[in-house]
Amino acid sequence: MAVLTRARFTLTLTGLATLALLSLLWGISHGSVELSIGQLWQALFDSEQLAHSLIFELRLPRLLSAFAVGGLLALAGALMQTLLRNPLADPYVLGISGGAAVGALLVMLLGLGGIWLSGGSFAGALLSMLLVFSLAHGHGSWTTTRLLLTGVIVAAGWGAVISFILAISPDSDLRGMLFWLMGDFSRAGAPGTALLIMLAGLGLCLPYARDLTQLGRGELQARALGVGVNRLRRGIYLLASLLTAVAVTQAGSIGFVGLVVPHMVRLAVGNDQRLLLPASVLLGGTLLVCADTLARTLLAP
Amino acid sequence: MSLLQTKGLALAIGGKQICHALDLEIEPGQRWALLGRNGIGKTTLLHCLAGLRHPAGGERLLENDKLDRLTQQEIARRLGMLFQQQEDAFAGTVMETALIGRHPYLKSWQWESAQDQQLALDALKRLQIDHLAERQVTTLSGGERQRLALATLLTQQPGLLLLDEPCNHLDIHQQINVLELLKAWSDQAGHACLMSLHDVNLALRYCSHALLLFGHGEVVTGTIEETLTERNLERLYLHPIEKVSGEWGQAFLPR
Repeated sequence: MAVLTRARFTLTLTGLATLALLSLLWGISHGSVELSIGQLWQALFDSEQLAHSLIFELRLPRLLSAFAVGGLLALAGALMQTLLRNPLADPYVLGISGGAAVGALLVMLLGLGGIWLSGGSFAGALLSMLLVFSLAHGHGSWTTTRLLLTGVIVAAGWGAVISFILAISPDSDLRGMLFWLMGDFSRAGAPGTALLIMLAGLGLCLPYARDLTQLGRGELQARALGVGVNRLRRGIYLLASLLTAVAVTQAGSIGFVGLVVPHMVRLAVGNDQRLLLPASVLLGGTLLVCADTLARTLLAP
Repeated sequence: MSLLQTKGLALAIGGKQICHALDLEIEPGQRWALLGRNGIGKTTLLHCLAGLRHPAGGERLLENDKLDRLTQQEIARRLGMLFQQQEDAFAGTVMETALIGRHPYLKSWQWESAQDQQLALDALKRLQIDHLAERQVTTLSGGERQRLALATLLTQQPGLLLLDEPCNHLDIHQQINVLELLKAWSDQAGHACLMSLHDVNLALRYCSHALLLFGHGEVVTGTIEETLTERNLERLYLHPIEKVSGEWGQAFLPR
């Protein structure tokens, strides 16, 4: 890959944005009720038609949720891989999804739902984030190895708690719990907040994109080049954790996207974070939109 | 104006005292050799001088400015550091890696200009690896990777270079090439370098001054003629050394 130029940057992002739009159109027009382009066009303007409410009340919110979650997870994954300087890192490696799952499952066990479910999973995610942060600090500096080990241990701990909850919960709750653990868009709430946080997250880390590329080359090297490594690491950790927490609260723990999408982008355009971060968001969103559409059509309903 | 100055620098690591009260002054045009046994603290001292490690006491001045008061970015514009090992966790091309030397000069939203790219290419040419510009860094040999690290330093265009074992992994031709390059570079106005070396004879041939770390806080500094004596080197390396002279020059050989 040649050095990143403004031209390649614009071209790649325009291409991915077009792909994202096309995937949304594909998702809107396919499902248990198929819509042709003509019907789509009509439905946009005629609010009386069934297709209109199908699009605006059912499909579009769901697809936008899927896009937001895909974008959030891909961005969080890319940030984690840079933070831990490890290509095997994904958003869940530091235990966020485990904490969120425990929060959500406990809420379900108590028989609550709706806003309590979102609140519970978000609280669990935040608790996990703070736990790993404080345990990894210890005395002495925050090394990457210590952070990774602490996160893996906490994640394992959450895994044990999840198994326990599944074992003791009544049969009637089990199915709902399993669906949450798998990742589920049918009960995803309004996509507005998730989309906003995705965009805000991207906006927050883009000014540091160049610093992040240097960080990926080694901390001493980055410091020697003028990067404020300690603050940057803390900031990335918090941002990546928050993005993951929002994604998991929205739709459960969806795997694969956070790990693979940054790698797919890296294979195509290299590791320059200025392009990798926005491209990951677009590709991750597109991927989940397609996955959700396929899930709704191949095994409809 | 000296490029780097220390006053009463005290540094220790893991219970070992590297220096008690080091007064070092690196003037433009000088080439310093940092010599010492394995594990004596050469890397630690270099990191401390580069502002990457805090000393136990004393002052460091970079072009008469206190190092502690400067931001990391300001330091990066005046001082370049070559590390002993290079990390390449993610893929990238040789050209991209050389260009990171421009990081201290670019704002976060700026794109690398044509001049920046030319600087990087010139640096790659001087290290004789410009033919590898589009190669992935993970496919380079040890020597090629070392030369790339040096090219990145040149692209950074600092006034002072701190080099941790710059001749590692290099064959004889490349070792001479690099040292000739550093000599030509330090002869330019406002440039100087401090490098840790294992080959005493290269230090004898290419450096103007030397800093010897004996351990237990004992440090000897001075010109090459003053410091590189048979007696000093025997004490330094704890190994019998013989000085050999001829019309071609001098050399220190281990017995």
